[in-house]
Amino acid sequence: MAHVETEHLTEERYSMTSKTRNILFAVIGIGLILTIIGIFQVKGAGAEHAAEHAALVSNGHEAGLTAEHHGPSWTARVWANLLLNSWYTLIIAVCGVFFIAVNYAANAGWASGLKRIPESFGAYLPIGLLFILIVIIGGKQDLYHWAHDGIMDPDSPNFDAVLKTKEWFLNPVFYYVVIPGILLAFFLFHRMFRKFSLNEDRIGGVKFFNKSVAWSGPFIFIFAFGFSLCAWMLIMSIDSHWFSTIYSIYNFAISFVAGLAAMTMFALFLKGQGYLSFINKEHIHDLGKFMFAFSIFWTYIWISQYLLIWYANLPEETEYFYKRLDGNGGQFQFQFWLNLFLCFGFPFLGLMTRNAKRNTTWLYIVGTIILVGHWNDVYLMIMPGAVGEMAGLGLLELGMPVFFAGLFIYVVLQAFEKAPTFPLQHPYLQESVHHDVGP
Amino acid sequence: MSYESPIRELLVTGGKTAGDVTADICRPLEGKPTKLWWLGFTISVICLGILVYTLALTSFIGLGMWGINKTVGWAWDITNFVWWVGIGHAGTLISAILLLFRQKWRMSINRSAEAMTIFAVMCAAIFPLFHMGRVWIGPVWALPLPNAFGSLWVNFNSPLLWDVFAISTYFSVSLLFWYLGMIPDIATIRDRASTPIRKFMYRFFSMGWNGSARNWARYEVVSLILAGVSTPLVLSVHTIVSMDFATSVIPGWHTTIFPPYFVAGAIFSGFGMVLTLLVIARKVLKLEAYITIGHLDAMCRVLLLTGSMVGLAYITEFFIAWYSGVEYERYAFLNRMAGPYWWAYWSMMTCNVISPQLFWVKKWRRNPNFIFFMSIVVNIGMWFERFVIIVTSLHRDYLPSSWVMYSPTPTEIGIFIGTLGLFFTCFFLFARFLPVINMSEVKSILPHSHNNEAESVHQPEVVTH
Amino acid sequence: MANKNKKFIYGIYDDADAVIHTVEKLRSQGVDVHDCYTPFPVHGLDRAMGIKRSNLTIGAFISGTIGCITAIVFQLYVMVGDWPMIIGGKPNWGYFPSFIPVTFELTILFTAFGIGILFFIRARMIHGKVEDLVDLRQTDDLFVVAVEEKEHRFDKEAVNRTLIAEGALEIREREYNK
Repeated sequence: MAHVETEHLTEERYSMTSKTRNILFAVIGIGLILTIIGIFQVKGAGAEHAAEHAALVSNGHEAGLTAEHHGPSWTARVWANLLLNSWYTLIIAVCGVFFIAVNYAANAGWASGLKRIPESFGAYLPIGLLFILIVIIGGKQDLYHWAHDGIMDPDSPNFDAVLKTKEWFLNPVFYYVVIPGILLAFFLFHRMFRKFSLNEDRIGGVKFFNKSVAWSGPFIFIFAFGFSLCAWMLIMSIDSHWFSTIYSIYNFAISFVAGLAAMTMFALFLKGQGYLSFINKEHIHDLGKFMFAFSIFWTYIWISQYLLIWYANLPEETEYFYKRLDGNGGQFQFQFWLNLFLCFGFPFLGLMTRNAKRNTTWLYIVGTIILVGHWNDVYLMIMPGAVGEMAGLGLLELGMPVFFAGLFIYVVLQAFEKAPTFPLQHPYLQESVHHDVGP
Repeated sequence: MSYESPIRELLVTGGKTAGDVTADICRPLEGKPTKLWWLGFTISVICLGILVYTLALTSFIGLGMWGINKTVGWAWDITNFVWWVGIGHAGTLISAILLLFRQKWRMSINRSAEAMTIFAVMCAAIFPLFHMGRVWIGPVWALPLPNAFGSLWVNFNSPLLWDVFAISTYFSVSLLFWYLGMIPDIATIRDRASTPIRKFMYRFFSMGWNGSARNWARYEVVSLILAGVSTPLVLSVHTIVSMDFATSVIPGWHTTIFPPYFVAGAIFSGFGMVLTLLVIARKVLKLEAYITIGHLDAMCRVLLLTGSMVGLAYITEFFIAWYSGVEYERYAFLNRMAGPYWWAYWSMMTCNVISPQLFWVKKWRRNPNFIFFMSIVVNIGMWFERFVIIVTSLHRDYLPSSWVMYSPTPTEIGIFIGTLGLFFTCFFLFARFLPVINMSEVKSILPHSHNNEAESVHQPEVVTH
Repeated sequence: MANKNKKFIYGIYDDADAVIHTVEKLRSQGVDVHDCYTPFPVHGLDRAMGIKRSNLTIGAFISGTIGCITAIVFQLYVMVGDWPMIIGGKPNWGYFPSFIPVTFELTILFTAFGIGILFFIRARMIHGKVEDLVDLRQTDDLFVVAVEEKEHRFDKEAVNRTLIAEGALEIREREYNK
């Protein structure tokens, strides 16, 4: 219908209120304090554990075990937490860039008015990369079994023949150069899309739109391969002997669903602050649908991995689920099943009806559950392999996500301030404004 | 109210009005069939005859007519089964997933793609049914009924049984979705019908549809719900097909990426077949105004995307096989690349991963001749993919004394050609008796206000600030 | 038929927007629009007519739930109750992963056919039903607004005037005697 009136919109800029800023600083501060207290708690518990361990060894138990295998120390738990939160926030931030590229590639118009939100996510990428660098440099020995001294050395008592076969990938070149390089490339792509978008605001026309479309394809291509390598190296290699081909897609599913939840909540927050006035129930409904659909997608990937490994029952594969279900007397069992409820059951039932997807408060709740659920999901990917019996849920596990959440929100909102809240010259903006989901 | 950006390509060109849409799409159904139609139909029916003959041979003489052996127990038949099921995926994908994503270009192509889905699933079903041997009793064993000799039931732990449920559900739901979408159009043809027999037939199938707005409101809700349930369904079908392989412990088959990878491959091959058919159909049925170059472009992009996804899956598989350090896994993949079936592997790689990359070039995405050629390449590539997965993984047993080669017999080749015959016979009949384009949906995206004033059709408003 | 002994006035249009405007106008004048007949779903018409969103979705949910329960109960009966089999070392008492595919498929099957059948019932459609048309072209390119002529408080002239003012090509009347 060419006869729908175009709506007249004027440039709008966001500025963070001092209240928002103060709250975010408080959140970051509280998170940081809790983290530090948590670290000391973990350290204390670690010392106790070591003492217990020493006692057992001196009593003659586990003597054989200590000779070749020293259990993870308390520092492993700290590093694992840092990896968990850095990776989680990083993949949410990457999702922002990916979301924009997908919208360009698919010629989708409905989200163009919201585009500045995922675009701001990209601003977190350098910080995320910095944290990842800290983890991979500082936490290497603690997190990655394959990085232990002598694992790859046939003459060492620590030699592991299976891991030796993986040396062509699990080596410093991939670890220190390729992986950070990929993450840097994601950031550069973000800068490029951002530049196109800002130039479009300034100059107008479809030139920058066409450029964005042209680059979205290559980005998606590079993203798919690069993201896979990152997931394999940073997360899958924690369980060094184990492998699963769907693993990168599983991580991608987390990235996408958590990113959508984050985007939705930012949109609701900004709308609540009085910005983006053209966002109405229709857009919110669509974001809700996306959260619903990709929660199901995540479940699909989850069940594909679980069912196939369960069915084939090969020892080298089932160890992964054994650790998470029955390992250490079922230490992670509760979280394992809770995960399915938080990431599938709750969003599935909670977003099924049309009204649920159009209710702002409810979407906040579901979004939070999804974000917490997938945090737990990443926790389950990292902790059982890296920390094992020393893992737990303490102040450290509470404080660090709070810190990262505050930091992420602060960085994103600050980036959001730097440009108009919606791309005024985007050729599909009016489509987004007139968006109607129909029945 | 929806708003179309002025920079979007028109989905229907030539300033068509609603009346033109009806006339253009009903024309092939109302006149006499053309010579070209008769030619194609005759060839298809001859191939269908081959199907009947080869299946009769298989039934009377037995599975010995096929080239399968003790080591390679699944080969040609299951390759074709998976190939056809894969082709059957594009229809529901287009009508369901693209509906949910509100990609309007789907509207001119969903009808024929859905028809294709149904015919392809029919072709697919032939292979496992006849592979069971004793086709007069075999299919009964697949039904969830107690065994005639006791209370043994089917085994719900078996992925093959999951497949029975998946394929039959997929077939029935697709049929329902297809039929439901066609009712308003059948009513349109009914109201134009000139002979009593046509009137009677179309009246029978139109179920009294009269375009009531209250029914349209319900109809849209039902379509949306059907799209909503078809979306996970279409994913589940090839997922379960992939589990026929992936639940086993055969290197090359047992890998967790199989479900999404098979789905991507299915979409890829489905779009390949849709393009093969539509590039011809738009020419023969003179539908260039509805299936525009823009539509072909969009479908080529899907090909490029899914081709790359399939490529990513190949590389992932290979990468993880190497990374795993498991001797058997490594061997299985090396054997694919450099073993006796290397030619199948490299045909697959060329056709599925490398050649779709040509679609990065916009000019080629908009050249129907090139697209037609590429769609054939994709069909061939996806056939080889299934052949590679099935035959190369099986022909090297754990026991080297069981190592064999497989090659198809004339009967098997005949069955394959025969299913092509069945597919195209059905498609020719469909194009003859049913509207190949969803008229009511296409009418709804025309700039239909004041549809007598041609200028408003051609010049969408330009937004200025 | 539900239309027994009723009289209708029909306005025939060739423009979808005019239909929406007519309906809005008539309703603002306090006239109930019986129905409209259009060759394609006109967006915004359901809102203009004040049609509530169909509750067929509830039917879909219920039939899907029935499908899900049927599948689980049946599989438990077969694999656990009636004749437990152990094949390939898989536990016969439905350890959940094996039952998921069939449960999923039957849920979808029941949902789809449930809502399909409910739709046909609700829309009073059945194979071979003779269509009730105002104009043969209402499934082609014409649009019809149908107003029921009520016995009380019905100003026929005003309705006709509105229909014409909004651009009706033609006005027809019909009485159902059956």
